[in-house]
Amino acid sequence: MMPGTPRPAALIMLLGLMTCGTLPADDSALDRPEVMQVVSLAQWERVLEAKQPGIIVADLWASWCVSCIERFPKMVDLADRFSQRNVTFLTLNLDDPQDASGIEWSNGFLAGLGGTFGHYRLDENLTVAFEALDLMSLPVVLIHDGSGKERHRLTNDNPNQQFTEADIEAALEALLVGAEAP
Amino acid sequence: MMRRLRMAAALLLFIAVPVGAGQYNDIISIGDSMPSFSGLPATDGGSYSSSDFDADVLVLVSLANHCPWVRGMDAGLIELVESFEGQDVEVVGFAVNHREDDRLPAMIEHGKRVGYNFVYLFDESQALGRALGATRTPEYFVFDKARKLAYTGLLTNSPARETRDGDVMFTNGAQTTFYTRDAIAALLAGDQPDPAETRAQGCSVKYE
Repeated sequence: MMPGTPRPAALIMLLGLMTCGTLPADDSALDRPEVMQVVSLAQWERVLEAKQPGIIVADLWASWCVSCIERFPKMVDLADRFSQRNVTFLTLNLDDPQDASGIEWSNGFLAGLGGTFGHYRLDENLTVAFEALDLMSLPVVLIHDGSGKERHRLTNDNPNQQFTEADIEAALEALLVGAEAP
Repeated sequence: MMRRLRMAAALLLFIAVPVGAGQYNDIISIGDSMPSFSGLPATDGGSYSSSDFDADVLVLVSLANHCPWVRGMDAGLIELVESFEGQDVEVVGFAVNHREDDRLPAMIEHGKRVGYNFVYLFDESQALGRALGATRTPEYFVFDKARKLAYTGLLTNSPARETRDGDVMFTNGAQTTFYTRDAIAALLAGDQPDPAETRAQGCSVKYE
């Protein structure tokens, strides 16, 4: 598969989203087993620590974030390519713990997505999560270096600095220059 | 060359970009001037400029039809407008996204369906949204008589979202603090809103 080519399953999900217009109503996602590992804020920190030493890309998203869902196929492609270079890709879902239909949809979406991700869901109220993680909106991509330090926080919080997957790729290449040096 | 200079000057006039950044906004701060705008089409078939609004308090709110947070809080927005009827307050919605379900035809349909009771503008150039640093929907910007930003952020302390089941879910239970309403009331009473900024919660705006 060529770089940048979305996987068929992800493409089908995306097509469903686009034709639906608003949030995709994928009934097939209901009653699926939990794909995401449920974590508290403290446990999420431990997940990140456990991946050291290694570069981590964490994609923060939610079922209500249409732009998060639309860009997922590109993240799958990035994960496929960079996982061969010892980069760990994680997703952290921020659906409200009380939102059963949103969580069910998210599990179904991820089950059909593929990619070499570890999937997590934050068991926390969204307002609390946004305060704790200092978020303004989703999507957000966090990139940690091998020492666990957050080196890049890619957001769309500034209208004049909207991030793309090219920014993720550039950030990873820059970090890997040091990490892969003999 | 002269044409380029005139265009640059026109752009500067069109967007009086405020300097600095707020606690939850990378572009605009409390006390900054409202960006001017002109000729924005509205769902009522009209075309509006910032000079068309002369109320003591002007509220701009970023919206997007597709956004579950907007849909979840539509009722609260309509109620806000109703609550200040007869007072010197104007509320203006604006949409920035270019996706088909957020553009003007869809805005007209959505506004009719839910009963929007305010002017709803399409900011197709995205200049207004950029100048306000509007990155979430809904996000409220309350300006005083001098058109200085007095409050920005949430409608209430419990943002609501439309779920996939079509229900409305409040993030923090029953709403107990009505930030935007209280900010407007404070300005009408000659006071400054407190808090002046809250962390807006909603969908992200897509800038092209």
